[in-house]
Amino acid sequence: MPFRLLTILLAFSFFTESLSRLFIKEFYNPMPVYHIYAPISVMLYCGIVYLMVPRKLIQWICIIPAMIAIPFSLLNSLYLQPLDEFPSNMVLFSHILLSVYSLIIFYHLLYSPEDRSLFRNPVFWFSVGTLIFQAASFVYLGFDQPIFSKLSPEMKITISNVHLYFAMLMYAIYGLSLWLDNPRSETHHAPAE
Amino acid sequence: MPQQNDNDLLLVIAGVTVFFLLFAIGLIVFVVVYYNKQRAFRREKEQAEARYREELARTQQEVRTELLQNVSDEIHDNLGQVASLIKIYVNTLQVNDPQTESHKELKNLVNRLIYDLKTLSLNTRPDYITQAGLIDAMETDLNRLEASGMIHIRYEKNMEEFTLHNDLQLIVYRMFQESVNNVIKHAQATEILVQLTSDQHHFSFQLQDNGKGFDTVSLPEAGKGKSGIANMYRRSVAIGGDLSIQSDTRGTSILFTLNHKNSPV
Repeated sequence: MPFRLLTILLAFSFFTESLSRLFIKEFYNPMPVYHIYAPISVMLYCGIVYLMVPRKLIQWICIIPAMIAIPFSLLNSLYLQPLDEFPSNMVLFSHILLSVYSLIIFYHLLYSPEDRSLFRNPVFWFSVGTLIFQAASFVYLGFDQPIFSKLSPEMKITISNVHLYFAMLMYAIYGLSLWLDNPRSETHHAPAE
Repeated sequence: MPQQNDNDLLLVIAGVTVFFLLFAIGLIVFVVVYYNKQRAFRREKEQAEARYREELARTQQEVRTELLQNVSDEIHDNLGQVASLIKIYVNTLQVNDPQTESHKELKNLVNRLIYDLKTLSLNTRPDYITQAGLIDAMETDLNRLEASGMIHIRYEKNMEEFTLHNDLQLIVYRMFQESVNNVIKHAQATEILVQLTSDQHHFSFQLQDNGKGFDTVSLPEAGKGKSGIANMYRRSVAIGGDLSIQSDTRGTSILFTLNHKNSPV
């Protein structure tokens, strides 16, 4: 079930990224798309983690910040930041929240180990994919700070490309986790007993 | 300007490298901790399964024991009483009527029935051997058999102090019972000589009857043929004993010897 939500999230991300390319082409700024994308993706991630971690306390820890995200996003977009400002406060909030979600899943994996190999566990790969991209995003956003203002435009493009590679890596890892979640892949790769 | 670009590039490479390193180290630590936890989890699971199997076996054994106890009580309290009543009535018939062959046969059959029921009742008691001890249990059987009037028992005992594990006592006792039952059922004997011998290292029992005997050529050696004798051979091998059976038209001799050194417990 969580991986169905992940599939929806991927489809939604694909749609959003396509839309952002269009915005770049037409308005030279994709940020309005991400202002809307961030709270929705947070909700979807929240749903995924909620279904992956069947422990009430952790589920509430996931839900509460996600519930706060919606009004915060609205307030931020309407009153605090113009739609074209980068980075959006909501995007920053979502990076923090998704990193926390990912760490929560790691904690859950340690809390309740399973019989199967960790590397055949789609939940582990989902968490790895999420954390690697969110951490890379922090580094990427770090380069946007004034201390790095002397960076040449070419270098900024290089950094942006590296960030893009991390995004591709994340989606590849998500693909792996979806493949591992497929019952047919379990049948093919389950160790003979 | 190119120098600045190189520095920038180095900075980016260093930043990404540090990030990758930290991430990889974190991931490796996680995997190691996870596998340790997984091992502990598997160990606990195996222990829980072992405890479950043990408990299940114990429960099944308790159920069997209780069932046997109930069967034993039922035979003793119900069927045994009915058989005793029949015996009283048969004796009354003998007083009132002339003693015919059929009356004698009837009396023998009733005696046999009472003996069988009592034997069955005692044998099905799960704690019989451990409570009574091997020699007492054997002697009780022999006394009952003698009292039934079916056969005359001559009993000789030449024993020094010896100890046998409870499990061994049970197996030896079953073999002894099988020997006695074979004599009663098949030998048509009127007399049986039972000899028990032991010292610190050996224990043996020998039964000699004056019955019709049987063909020893077809004796099973490894669990084949007549099930009673086959069981005796199998049990003898299992506890490291030596079973010898000799028979001719003058009777049968069964000798079982157990050397303590050869026994598994």
